Amino acid sequence: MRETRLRSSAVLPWIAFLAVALAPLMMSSGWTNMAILTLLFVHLCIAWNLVGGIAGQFCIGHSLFLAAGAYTSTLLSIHLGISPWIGMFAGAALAAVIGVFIAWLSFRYELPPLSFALVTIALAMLGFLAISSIDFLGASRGLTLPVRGTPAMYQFRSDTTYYVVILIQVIIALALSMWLYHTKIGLYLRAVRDNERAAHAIGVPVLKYKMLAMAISAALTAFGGTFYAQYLQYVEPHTFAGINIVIQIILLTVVGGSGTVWGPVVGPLLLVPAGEWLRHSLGGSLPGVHLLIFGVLLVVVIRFAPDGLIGAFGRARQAWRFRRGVAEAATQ
Amino acid sequence: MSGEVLLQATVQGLQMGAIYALIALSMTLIFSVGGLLNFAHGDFMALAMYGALALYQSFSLDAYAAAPLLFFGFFLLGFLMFRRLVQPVLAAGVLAGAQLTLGLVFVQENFLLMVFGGDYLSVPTVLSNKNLVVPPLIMPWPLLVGSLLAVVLAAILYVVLMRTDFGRQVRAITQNSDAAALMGIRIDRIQAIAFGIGIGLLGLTGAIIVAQFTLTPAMGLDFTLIALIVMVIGGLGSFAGSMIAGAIIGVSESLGSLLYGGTVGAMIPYAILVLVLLFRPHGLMGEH
Repeated sequence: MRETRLRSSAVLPWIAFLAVALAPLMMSSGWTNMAILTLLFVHLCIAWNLVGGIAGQFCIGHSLFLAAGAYTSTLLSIHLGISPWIGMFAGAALAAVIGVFIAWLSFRYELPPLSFALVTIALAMLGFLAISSIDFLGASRGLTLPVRGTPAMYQFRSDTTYYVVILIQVIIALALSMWLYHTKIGLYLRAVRDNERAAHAIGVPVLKYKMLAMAISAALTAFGGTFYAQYLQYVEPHTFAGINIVIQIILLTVVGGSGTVWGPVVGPLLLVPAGEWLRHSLGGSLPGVHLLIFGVLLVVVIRFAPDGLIGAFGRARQAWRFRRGVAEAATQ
Repeated sequence: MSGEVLLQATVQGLQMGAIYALIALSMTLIFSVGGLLNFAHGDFMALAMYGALALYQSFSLDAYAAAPLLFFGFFLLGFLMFRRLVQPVLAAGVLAGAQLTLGLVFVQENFLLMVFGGDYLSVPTVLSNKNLVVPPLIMPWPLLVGSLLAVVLAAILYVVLMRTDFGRQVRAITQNSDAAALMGIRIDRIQAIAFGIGIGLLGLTGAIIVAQFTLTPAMGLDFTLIALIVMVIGGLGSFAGSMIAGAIIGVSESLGSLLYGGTVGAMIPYAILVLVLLFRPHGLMGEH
């Protein structure tokens, strides 16, 4: 009995997710762009959540990893003609190295809480300023990918193919995140999040596991960066290295429920289409009005459910079960 | 490069540093009573600058005359916002609080974009485009007055924190909020007042330096980052530390852009922050 319930609670969200994710393939092509953007953010939020949610380390430096993925694959493609399918692994490796280095730098000593956020935001700003001024990286103009037009070079004729690629990436990232959450690594990371000293005292190698979480999260983010660069066919510092995209990733994850497996999926899945819809229906009237409404929506969710929609859903379900239990007890 | 140019840049850096220090002190005040890292800090100041613009456009009110109005307006805004919005979220943890302020960044930037548009704007004041010439120095009056007022306001804040009951209560909460609560200090009230004063100070600061800046909706984040840097380098809660850190950041930024160009100048504060956090994590003057 117990086992079947466990299995259904693990499988049902997958079925729901796949139903939603496969729907754009049936729809007209006008929706594909929005669907790709949504899944890209799902991917980036899952990646951020490994460090920012499950391990509880407030990292604002993920633009560095996004840029590593986007720029490495693009440069390899432009200068050496190497396919981004291979370049994406180089980008992920570079991002993982940067991530491990940042984690090692920041977590060697017991720094005051939230100073990790400050180190990473400072490094992100340094990265952004550096990228916008180095000519080899295209400076603030950015770089355009050469047109090669073959799937072997990560270029497709139809947006639907891009959609399938990002869908596969998201499924892999989600499976990885779910697996990590339930294995020893995830348990250690959650222990570090909930009480670092206690975790350290019972023998969790805190530094090692924080570095591991950063490496995985950074590599996944870089894969997202490569995909986004290939999809747009250019890279440019504001989109790929700016702090704004990190703020969006964090807010979407928090609204869904950071530190949970499905939170970073639910947040972007609901809010990215909502944001795009607002942009289409209001964007022409006043500049910024759609983003203002979007921001107010985010703030309202955080105000009434600081643990996100997943947390609010869990509490509502508990309250419902409790009430049903009371009703059953009363009838007996 | 001649010594005069270097001197000019140094003086300008020191003046900017005093303003940075004041912004960082209001951030410290908010941080010290509840652990809230306010990422929307600079955006509140941007809001005040645009407020000064709106008051000038509607009533031809000079920004310097509007400063007290903006102080009280922003005090009320901060007080109410803390009570209705920040406090309930902060109860769920400082991380949730910081994430809420990230949401506020989004809201405020786009509010300004919607109301005022994305163009660069400036606010004319009685002091705009006037310089004080003390050979060999040429000092813009808005910056000079802004920095002097910043020092005066920082001194007033220091006296309030050291000599009044409110200040003692704030310091008690900073040292040990549980013990402070047991001594009968109403923590939630002091937190709300401190947040109000912090935001009110931003209203005031925005008005007195508005003549020195060109306004864009996204300008707030830069001020937030500078304030964070100064706050951390100075050591949380140290007044002398914040003033010194403000001066270091102002001067290094100004000399950096003069000697190596704008991008390197802009990078220097972040590089200093990273170095300080790694080697002196409690700041230059911070207590352990």
